[in-house]
Amino acid sequence: MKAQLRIEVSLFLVLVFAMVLVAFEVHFAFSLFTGLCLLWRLLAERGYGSFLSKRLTGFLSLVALAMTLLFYRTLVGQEPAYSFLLMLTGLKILDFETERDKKILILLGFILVAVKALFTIDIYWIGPMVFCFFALWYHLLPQKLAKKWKYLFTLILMSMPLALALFVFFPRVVLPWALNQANLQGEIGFSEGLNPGSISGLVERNQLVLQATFKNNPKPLDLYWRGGVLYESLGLRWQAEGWRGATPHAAEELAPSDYEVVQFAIETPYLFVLDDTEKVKAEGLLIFSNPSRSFRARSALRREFKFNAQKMNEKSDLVSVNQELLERALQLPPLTPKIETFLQNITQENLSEQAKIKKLDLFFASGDFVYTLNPGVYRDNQLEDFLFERKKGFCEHFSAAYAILARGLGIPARVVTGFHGGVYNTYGNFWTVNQRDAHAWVEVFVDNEWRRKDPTQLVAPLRFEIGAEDFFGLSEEDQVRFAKLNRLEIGNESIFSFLATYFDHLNYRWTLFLLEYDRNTQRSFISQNLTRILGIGLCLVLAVILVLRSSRMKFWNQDRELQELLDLINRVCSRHNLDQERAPHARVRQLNELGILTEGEKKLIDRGMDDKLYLKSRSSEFEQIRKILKDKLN
Amino acid sequence: MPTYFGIAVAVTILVLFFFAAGYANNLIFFFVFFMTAMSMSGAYLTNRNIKNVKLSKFSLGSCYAGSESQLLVYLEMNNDWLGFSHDITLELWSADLKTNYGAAQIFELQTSTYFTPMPVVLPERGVYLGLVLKSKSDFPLGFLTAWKYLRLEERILVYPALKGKSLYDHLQEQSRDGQGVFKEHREFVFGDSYRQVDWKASSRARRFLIKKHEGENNQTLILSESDVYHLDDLESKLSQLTLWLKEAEQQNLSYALHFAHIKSEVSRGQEHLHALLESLATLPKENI
Repeated sequence: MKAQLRIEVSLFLVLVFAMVLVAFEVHFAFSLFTGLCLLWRLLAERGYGSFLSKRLTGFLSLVALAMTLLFYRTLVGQEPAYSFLLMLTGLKILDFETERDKKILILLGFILVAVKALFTIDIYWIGPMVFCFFALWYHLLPQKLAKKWKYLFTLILMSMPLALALFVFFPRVVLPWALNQANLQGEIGFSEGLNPGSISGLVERNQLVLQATFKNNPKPLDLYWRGGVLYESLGLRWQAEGWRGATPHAAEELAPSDYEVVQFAIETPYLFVLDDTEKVKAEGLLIFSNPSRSFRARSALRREFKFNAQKMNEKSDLVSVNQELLERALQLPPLTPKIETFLQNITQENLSEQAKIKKLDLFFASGDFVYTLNPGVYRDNQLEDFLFERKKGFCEHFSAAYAILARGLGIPARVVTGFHGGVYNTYGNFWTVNQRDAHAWVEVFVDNEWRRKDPTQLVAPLRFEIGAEDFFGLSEEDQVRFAKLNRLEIGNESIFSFLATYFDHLNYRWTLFLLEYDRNTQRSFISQNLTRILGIGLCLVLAVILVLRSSRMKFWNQDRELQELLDLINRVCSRHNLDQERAPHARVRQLNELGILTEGEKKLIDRGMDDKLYLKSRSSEFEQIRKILKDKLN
Repeated sequence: MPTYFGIAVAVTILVLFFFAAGYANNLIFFFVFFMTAMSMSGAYLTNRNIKNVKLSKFSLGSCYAGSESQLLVYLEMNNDWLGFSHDITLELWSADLKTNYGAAQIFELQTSTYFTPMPVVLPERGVYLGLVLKSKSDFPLGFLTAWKYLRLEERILVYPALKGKSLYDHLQEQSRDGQGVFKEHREFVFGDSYRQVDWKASSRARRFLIKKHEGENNQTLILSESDVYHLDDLESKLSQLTLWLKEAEQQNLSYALHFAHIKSEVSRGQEHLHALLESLATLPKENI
């Protein structure tokens, strides 16, 4: 039977911790596979099962590979690679036998902790990640080492100045292509188009989308974050324009930006910018813009990044830019006779464009429409059903319908998807937008300019007044009942929401710090603060040396006493012509056997030596022992 | 030099560096830089760990070729702010560093002087000069191995191997060959070999009895070439003689050796024994 090395409990727990960090980010099936491997190992160590042979674990590796390929069709890419890595770590634990396996597991642990940082850089995860990181270093130290934590602390202290220096000074190498190595299938809703129910599906999640700080805080009602612009209409379903007309957006230096955004990974290629944004810049990211003034990356963005944006100084006249856009913005899907009749009735009134818009506004505002997350299922061509019968919908229904009706009245219109509003953090002076703020609205071309029209505001003004977070926090009945109100008292902030707001602020600052320290920031930071950095660095190094030397003095003083004790024993042995080439305890025993030391004296000296050697403490009887041995010399 | 594990760590750091650069992730940069810094600190500590250790002296008791002996190594620690050295492996190598004679592991040198017994096996008899004590360690992280050579200034004398038949068997054969006439029985005392017991007589007398031969009381043994004439090669002869000399001393006999150019007086005692063994050990190898 081959020897099995039992995994130290603490190492096992640390590895499980590291795996749990990543298990949160991958598909449940892979986490389950890994969990079963861990469970098997635990049971085998406790005698409830047998250890698996290498052949069997080899076979399970192939099973893991097959699972990964089945799910993702490839091993290349973030999710397939890390899922496979997680399962391999589980199998390695199953296979654990030798000291070499222990080291391999620790290495895998380091990789898992680093992989977690690819998925999230939130401050909430920093504690567990750092704990895991240092716990893995702890297990690299020899098992027999006494006071391992103390030694690890010394090692960390020694490494800290160099690590900080590398972090500050090491040139940031950025590979722009790597940021865009993402899953090419974006999430339905924003990247692919607008389907009935797609935005209401997004709204049910609370995932963070972006956090923004402004030079001058705008009004909440004006916070329309534009993502994709849709022109192709199939009734209630709209197609994204994709790459049509997209050109690289010149990445020139911005004058002091008007606002700064940290956008999180929500699997869309779009950068969400405000209405009148003219320029956008993100470090290491190739941005494309199109005549519709939407900004996007090459493919769906799978990591946090920061960008700065500048608004237009004056409203520019886009009419002269693209006639083709206007023509596309007038294309109508097939309409039912009832809708055509409705449109004809308005057209026959020979109203101006503004008046036609007002008519549409009135139709939606007074038409007993209900704003709800659960309007029932609509097919693409059920526009008539929505407009005249059910009258229940979400923002995607209202905006799709409004745009079609506007086009039917000869006004170019397009649907815009993105987010609206956000929650203001008073501590950090920033806005937080999450998936609940997902929204769709319309832009109509009136008076030679594209203007925003939000039919949802006409139907449910309260949602804009109090924000999506609070509005969807109401019950469904209250949402319907109070939707048309302009004001509602929500209630006082609790201690938990206060704490949540404060931690959000800390997390935002932390994220900004990590994202902000890019190549440009590094250069300017170093050039402006070189003297200060050198001064602080020197002080830090001196402090480390002082701390370590003071702990060395403590070691040395203890050692001197032990050395003195051993020297005295040596001299007594030498005095009586005894063999000095024996262990100290053996020499003391010999002195006792020869009658030079009494039994009591022997026990006292042995105790004193043990205190020094094993307890590393000063024996209280040290002076007495010293006196005894000195007497034997005389 | 890096260990295999150290190389694996370096590759891991490199891979993580590319992750960090590729995804412009400052958090991974931080992990990478910290791992780099810890590795470099570990390398420094590994170096200091070995540098602290100095050979003070060593002693080797009676050492026979091919048998395990205990080499007592005394080490001194230099005055260093790090405190004690840990996890040192000591190895005894030949002067040309091609043959390893033994190793010992010390986990923690707790005092400024430290001694440790090291089991060594020196394969051949003779004088060993310039043996090298290699101290090595990969403490604390196992990324790098550092080592230091400490040359042993003193010579080490290795006696021939203890091999062959026992002195008692040899003397028994001599008596069978008429070299000793049975005189009487004596009672078995502690220290006598059980092979000397006369079982027939013992069963009759119901106590253990040993045969005594004429001349046995003389307690004198003279070993010569004729005693080992039957052996083929020089080393076997020397080994046999070594064994007999040692047993003769243990049995309190007076003995002498007449072999090759060695013509010793009859004597006994540790000094006499070691002198004879040294003579055997230093015999040229090509002698008959």
